[in-house]
Amino acid sequence: MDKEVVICRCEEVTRAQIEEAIERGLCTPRDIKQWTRAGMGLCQGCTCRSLICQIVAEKLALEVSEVSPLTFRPPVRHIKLKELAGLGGNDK
Amino acid sequence: MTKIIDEAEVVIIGGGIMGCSTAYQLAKAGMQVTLVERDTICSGATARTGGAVRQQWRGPNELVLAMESVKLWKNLDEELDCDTEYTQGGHFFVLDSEQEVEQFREIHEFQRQHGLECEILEPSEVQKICPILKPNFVAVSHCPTDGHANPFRTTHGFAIAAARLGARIMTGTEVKSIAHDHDEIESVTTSRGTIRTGKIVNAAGPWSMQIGHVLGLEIPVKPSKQQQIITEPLPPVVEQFVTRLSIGLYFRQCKSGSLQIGLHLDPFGLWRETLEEGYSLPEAEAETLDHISTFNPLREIPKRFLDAVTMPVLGECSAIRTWPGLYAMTPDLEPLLGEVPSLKGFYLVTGFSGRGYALGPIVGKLMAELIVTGKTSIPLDKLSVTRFDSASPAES
Repeated sequence: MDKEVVICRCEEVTRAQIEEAIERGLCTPRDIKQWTRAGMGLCQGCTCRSLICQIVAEKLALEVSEVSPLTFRPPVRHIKLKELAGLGGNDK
Repeated sequence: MTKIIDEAEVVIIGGGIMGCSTAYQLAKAGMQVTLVERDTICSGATARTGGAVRQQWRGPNELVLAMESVKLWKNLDEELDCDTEYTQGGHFFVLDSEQEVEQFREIHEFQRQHGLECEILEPSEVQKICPILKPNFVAVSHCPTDGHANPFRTTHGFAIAAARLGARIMTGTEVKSIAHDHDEIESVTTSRGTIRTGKIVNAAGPWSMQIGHVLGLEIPVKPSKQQQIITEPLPPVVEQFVTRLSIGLYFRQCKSGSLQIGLHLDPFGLWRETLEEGYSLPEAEAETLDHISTFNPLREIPKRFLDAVTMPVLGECSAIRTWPGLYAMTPDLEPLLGEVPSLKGFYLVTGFSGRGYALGPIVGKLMAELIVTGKTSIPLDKLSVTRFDSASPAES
């Protein structure tokens, strides 16, 4: 895979940046996310979470199943503050 | 006894800001140090902090630490070779009653004696420097040299720099037992094997009492819950870290542009109530991070936030993630720092009661001084666990 390919589109993190983080000793998707912001953006890793797992597995010679993926947290889809507050929008 | 996997002069338990900062300073001083962390670096309380680097509104012991810490924060990026996103944009305490204003005036006087300058701002003055705040308050306490930073970058920055200096960082490694001969530490046994050591630093934050239990030691720390929301990135709208004690709300705008908004259920009041009931900890709640079921903080956060800001358009911005976090509360809300007198080589760096992140750099430095030389450049004796009766001696 091309090193300059963008893995996390929301935060514009490239494969090279993720590999560089792994070389620094950041060895789980959570570490990589906290360091590079990959998976921290608007889509919360919907697109890149499995790609990050694959890169970690490849770089550390692990099976993908051995890599802990990023955690999901509410909300499942992003929600406007006013809707969350119950002040209109799709709240009803 | 399980397999010996390592030998270290110091073993640090906990990979949050305190553990990583202490590991870095010890490694820098030439000590052979191993840090063990049950999960990953920055996965517990530090990962969930608001990120305030605040000096104002602290007791006498902490104020000195916070002011010294800010001196270190200013050069931290260079020291660690890492962008911690530290910014000194000021900290606002939004005050909702004349009584609160009076309290803060007294606090300012005391802070001034220690060399920290703060000011009380009228709503009209606040409007000029922070137009996002709806002027529905009485006044604001402003400390221009306060600020905030990125907890993830800071903690990993310390861990990476520590490793570079020779510290061993063992994640996914849970403490199972600690062996001691009478009053001296011998080893710590983890899920991955035993590490021989003469010194242990308990930097496990809201879980530090569980490490105490391994030794039969009651450490007076109790977890208290807070809840946070982060939004999609926005153009710059607020530079200050804003806290409004009367409604438990606080927020900041991260370097990424996201607003991080948090709420806590008056942890200070909560603690006192629990203390009166006796010292019973809801262990299950500490495990699940599920605190008070009748309260719906995810709804309350945007409600209280939108009521506090001028721009209705902020209601249109989206929350993209939410998470709960734990404070490690002590009965007097001051941390527990130093060696446990009944157990030589067992050090506490915990109980920061929701105000520890800012102190991370200085506390790591002082703990390293204490461990290496037996003395500290700022006295820590008032923060010893001996101020409480509950730290009972370990049975050997």
